[in-house]
Amino acid sequence: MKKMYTSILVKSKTIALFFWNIKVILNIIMKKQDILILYLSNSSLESNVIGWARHYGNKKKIGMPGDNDSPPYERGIEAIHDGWRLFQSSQLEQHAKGDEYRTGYLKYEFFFEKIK
Amino acid sequence: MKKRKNNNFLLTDNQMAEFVSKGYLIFDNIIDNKINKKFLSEIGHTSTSLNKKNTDQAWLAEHYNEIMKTSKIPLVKAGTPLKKAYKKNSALNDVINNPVLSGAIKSLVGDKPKLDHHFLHITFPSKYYHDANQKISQGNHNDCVIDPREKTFDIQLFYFPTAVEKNMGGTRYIPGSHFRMVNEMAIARYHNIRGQKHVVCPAGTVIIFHHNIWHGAGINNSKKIRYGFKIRLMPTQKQVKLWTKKTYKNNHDEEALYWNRGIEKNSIKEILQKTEPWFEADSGRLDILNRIRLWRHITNDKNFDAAYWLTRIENDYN
Repeated sequence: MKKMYTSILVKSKTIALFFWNIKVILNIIMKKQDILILYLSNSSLESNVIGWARHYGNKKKIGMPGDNDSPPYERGIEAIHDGWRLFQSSQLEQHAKGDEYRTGYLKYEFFFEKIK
Repeated sequence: MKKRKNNNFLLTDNQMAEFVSKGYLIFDNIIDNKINKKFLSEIGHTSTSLNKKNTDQAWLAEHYNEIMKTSKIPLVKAGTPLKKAYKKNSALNDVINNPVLSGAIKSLVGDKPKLDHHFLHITFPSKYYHDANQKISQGNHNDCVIDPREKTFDIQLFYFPTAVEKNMGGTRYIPGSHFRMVNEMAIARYHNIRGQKHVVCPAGTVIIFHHNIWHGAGINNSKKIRYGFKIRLMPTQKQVKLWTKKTYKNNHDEEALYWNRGIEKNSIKEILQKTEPWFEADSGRLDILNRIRLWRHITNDKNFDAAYWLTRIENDYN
């Protein structure tokens, strides 16, 4: 009888361990990406934040236009200090002849991510 | 605001410079309550319209369509002269003939502007929307495709017949963005821009925007309907000295950049050089150049400058 109980206990532990491992693997596979987009006042990461957007991997959280009048960081580098990983920034492009004084889109765009 | 002999109110030089610099002028509570009520009655607004038990989206669309069908807002053909757009006794006719507003319209686009289009924006409380996409605020955009005009501009009157409170998601707009040549919703990625503003105003407020200003609607988190009536006007003449007969002549008595005794407060030159919190260090300077260029055009003063921003790059002997 005791052997039978021990066997059931061992089997239960094995099954539990199996599902726990599945959960761990799923967590690793299903990790989600949060995105932070910053627009800076010049091409240096040290410069001031003039525009921003947040997007969340968790679909219960929504980043939307006009959701905050204060920037998340004063300067771009502060995002790095806070654990955001930079994965893209805009290039510096030569001004097209005849169009040197026309202004348009925000020039200094930086994309960051956090994997959670 | 100047009152002329012929009883027309025209904008002042400083108001014109503010418009050139920021891209908008706000006239708080300019339309009296009688006209606001008349407008609401003409569009079929009732204070109980949101008390219906049926809050599904079908009812909401039905309600909107009903207002479009039964309201007294006329169907006006594009290009109709503003003077012929609205019936004499209508609330909208009262709005555009408000002495201060008609003076501002005349100052900016002349006395024979044409109506491009008009539209009644109705924003229901967010709880009435079930589709997740409709619970998200509108992205920043300008109201045009790529518009190559550098000197000519249209104006858009935004008339708010009821008070817009903070939680009603009034239009978000970016001061000074009107020189930026972009293509409509292409800028929707810019969720927030430092210095952005949100319309919060008393009933009867009218804001006149440059057609190219960046803006977007917010979410209405109140229990009330938010209305905004937009009228887009285009000029039929050169926009040169429409508000004044004064001769402008730059005296070249320029304060130098930075090392000076301070630019005269509220002077045209100070208004045109005031940077916005979101201006990039480099492109922001180009925006100042573009303001000065537009000021030269509307004053017909080809030599006007502020702190040599343009003179410096025009000093070319080759």
